[in-house]
Amino acid sequence: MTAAARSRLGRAQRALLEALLADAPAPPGFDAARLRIAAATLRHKQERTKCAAHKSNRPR
Amino acid sequence: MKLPRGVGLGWRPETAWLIDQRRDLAFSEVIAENVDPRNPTRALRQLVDRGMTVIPHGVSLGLGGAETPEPNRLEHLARVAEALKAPFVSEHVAFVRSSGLEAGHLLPVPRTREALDILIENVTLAQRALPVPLVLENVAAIFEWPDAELSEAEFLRELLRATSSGWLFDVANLYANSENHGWDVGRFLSEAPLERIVYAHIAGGESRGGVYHDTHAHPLMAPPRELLRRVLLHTGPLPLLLERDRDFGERSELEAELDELSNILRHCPAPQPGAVREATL
Repeated sequence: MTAAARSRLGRAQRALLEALLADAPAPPGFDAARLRIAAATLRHKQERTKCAAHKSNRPR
Repeated sequence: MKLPRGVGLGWRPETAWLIDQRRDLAFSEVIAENVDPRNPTRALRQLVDRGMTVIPHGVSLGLGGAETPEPNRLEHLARVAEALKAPFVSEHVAFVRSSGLEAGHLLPVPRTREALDILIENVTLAQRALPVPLVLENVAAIFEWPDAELSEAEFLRELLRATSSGWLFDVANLYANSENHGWDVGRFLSEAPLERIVYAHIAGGESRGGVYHDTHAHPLMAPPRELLRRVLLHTGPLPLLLERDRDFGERSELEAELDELSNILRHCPAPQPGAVREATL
């Protein structure tokens, strides 16, 4: 696969992740409402993960 | 190697006791990233020692990403497969990070020829680094990429053919996508590479505001259960693993769900003429 193709895919995935994780606007062609729902799901999941990590790191 | 055509339950610290006690379970699976290959937890070692197959299930390779899979992640997955004497490992058709930004979640890949070629190359690299075959799973998505050039069934068929990989068919993920994107399940089942199925996943989820979320934290709802019955009409009985990641509920609830799935497999009619059996790796 060409480096150019990987670079194109990388840019598209990065733009999508910024919309999902960093409140960037939805990339063209995406359903913005659905991305907001997915972003909320990701946020909840990350909070749960952090919470679990915090618990397991607590001294016993 | 073939898994037994029975019901399995995903190994989690919270389900370990149930897997240990229910001797009717056919196999199990564990999140590979949570296993220390030099010192797997005793409960897991005991399962392997008593002859149960425990499939290492990876969630962080990001095979659909723009970057090639990271050697240290592949190395870890390889060591876990060896530590658990696993006949194969499984991972997802998904991307999970891009230039250092981690999603912490399995995200869908654009279904274009270009993204497919990159995915095929990444899977091939992963196969070379692993001591056992790699089985690939379809994921659930809340949104779709624009400008798809292939249906998901076509995309999976081409991917599995080009890489000679087996398929981990997640029926709940198909349910999620049919609900969320209006996919035609009949068409999916007629186009999908059913002959490459190695095992299947099913899990609970919930509908919120018209969107189905594959939470692995709720009991299995009737519609995905009906979809499972429909899939089995095409495939015949399959090795079927229930995934539950949190909110495990009462012991009796999880047990009842396993019983229900066993019942579905037991009463599943023989596959239709011309239908397929699961793949051999």
